Amino acid sequence: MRAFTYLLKQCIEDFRRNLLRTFLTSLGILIGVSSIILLIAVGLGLKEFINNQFESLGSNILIVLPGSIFQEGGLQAGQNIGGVQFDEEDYRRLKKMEGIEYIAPAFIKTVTITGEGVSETGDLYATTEEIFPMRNLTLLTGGYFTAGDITKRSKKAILGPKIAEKLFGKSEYALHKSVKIENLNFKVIGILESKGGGGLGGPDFDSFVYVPYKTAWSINKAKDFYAITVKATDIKFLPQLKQNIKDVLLKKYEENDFSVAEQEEIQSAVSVIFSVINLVLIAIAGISLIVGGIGIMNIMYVSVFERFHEIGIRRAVGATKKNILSQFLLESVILSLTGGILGLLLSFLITLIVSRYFPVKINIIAISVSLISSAAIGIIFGVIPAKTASNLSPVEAIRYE
Amino acid sequence: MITLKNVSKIYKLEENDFIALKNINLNIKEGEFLAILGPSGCGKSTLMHIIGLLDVPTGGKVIVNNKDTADMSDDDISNLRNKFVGFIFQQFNLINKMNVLENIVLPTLYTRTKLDFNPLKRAEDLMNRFGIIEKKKSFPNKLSGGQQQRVAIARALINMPKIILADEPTGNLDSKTGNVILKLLKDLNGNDNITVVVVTHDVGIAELFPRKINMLDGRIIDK
Repeated sequence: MRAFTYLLKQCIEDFRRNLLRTFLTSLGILIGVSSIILLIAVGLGLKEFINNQFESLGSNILIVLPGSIFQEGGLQAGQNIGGVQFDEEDYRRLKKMEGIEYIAPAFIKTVTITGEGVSETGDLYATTEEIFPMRNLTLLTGGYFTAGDITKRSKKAILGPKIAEKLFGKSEYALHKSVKIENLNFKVIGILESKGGGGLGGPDFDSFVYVPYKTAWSINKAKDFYAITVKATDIKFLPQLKQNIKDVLLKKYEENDFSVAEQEEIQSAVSVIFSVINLVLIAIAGISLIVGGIGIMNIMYVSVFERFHEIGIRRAVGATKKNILSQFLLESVILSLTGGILGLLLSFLITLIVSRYFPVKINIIAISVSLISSAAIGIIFGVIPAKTASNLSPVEAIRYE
Repeated sequence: MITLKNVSKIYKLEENDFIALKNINLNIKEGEFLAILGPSGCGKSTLMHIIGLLDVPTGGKVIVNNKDTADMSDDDISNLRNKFVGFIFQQFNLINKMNVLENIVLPTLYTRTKLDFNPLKRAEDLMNRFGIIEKKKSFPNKLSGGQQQRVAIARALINMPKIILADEPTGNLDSKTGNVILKLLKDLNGNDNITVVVVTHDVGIAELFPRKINMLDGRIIDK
């Protein structure tokens, strides 16, 4: 222990004497470690962000979609998506089923929306009033449209806060104003509170213009729906409800024409995609760690050659091969750990700044992975130079000036 | 204590082999004060390296305390160098980035058994004895040759060795300082009962020793 403390002290003094060299050698590891931590942080942040998004959209939710989107548990690539378009009859049949708390069909179309001379591209979301409690869409101001408005085909619209702000400058100003969508004039009766997010796998509820689905029939001539969203009364009914919906729809459609997805399935599928992309990026960053390791190996060789004489003296006074090996290994590990710790600090700093604009999160796994991997790099790339040092003949080493 | 039987050392060179030592038979007894004398290139340093287990012979046996060193592991041999032998070199061979005290205690860091003395206390005693205590925190390049050699002697003595091997210990010193160092070695032999072997090319120095071994061209020419 005394010998170890001494060696450690000497090693740190050596590094202090060659501060610039030590820093430059550690730089490779510093960059490698910080990029790995940052990528893990971005990955974790995104995952948490997506999960929060999905959770804020309500639980116990099933989404009936056209086409076969799931195969072997994963999201399918586009070729089978398409399938059928659901109609009002499908909606009516499902609505009659037991165990459903809310049901909302959706016709979604990208349209031009005009309000007070400003035109914006937005998404029309033609549905029922049940979408609001189901998706926890609360009002900033105004009110919701009702079942009666659907039957009467009232020209009433509820705006998401983003589209309301784009059209009227401030979202509250939109209330009681008129918006024009494909030659139909709608009266804005409510503005929703922001749900945040969108664009990262979940739908952007802030940008939709919600209208009664029957009113939208003059735009949606086919009177069809892109999706039907259902909320079960209890999570324990979810599997049974899923099966029952399938059975009902199978009377009319083929197996591959539609999918009944649990929101959690979509959520985990999206998570998996992000995790895979993240992992690939981390692996690429890992290459920079290896490059850093080669830098360490290089400088360790220089260090061994510079210190032939010293190695000879140490051997003459009784150092074993193992002593010399551990001395140089210790140096190489400290060198790479220094890089690792500096990289950790740098990534903390960057995370602190970036977290204002982007979801990032550092956890104990990222920290330990980076520190363990930098120590491992030190051992792996230090072992060959250290072996060279320990295998020197004492008498040849001591003669070397 | 140390016996060499038919020891030879041959260096393989590109054109022909170089015979550094040939059929050396030598017995060093405990408490001896011995000089190995010969002109430069006669193999006396190589012989000292082999006696001190810094180098291995290409032929013959080196027996230390009745044990054949050929049967020992690197760890065992390092251990012997650490506790049994103390080296003193012409070039002092101190580590320049370490101060005097650190240089002196260096061997104790490599001792694998528990030390039965306090290394710092013993180093202080040795520095006091050799008059270098005020240089404790100095680095070797700030010391005179004589001071450096005294540090080297203190380092050689820290682990209480049985034998001191000195290779031209006065070679880099003026004659006055050289005499001080030789006196010191003589005291170690006389007072501390440490076996001392000094390698030298200087006949005058060799005259101070009761036993002399003359070497020429890798051989011992008389005893």
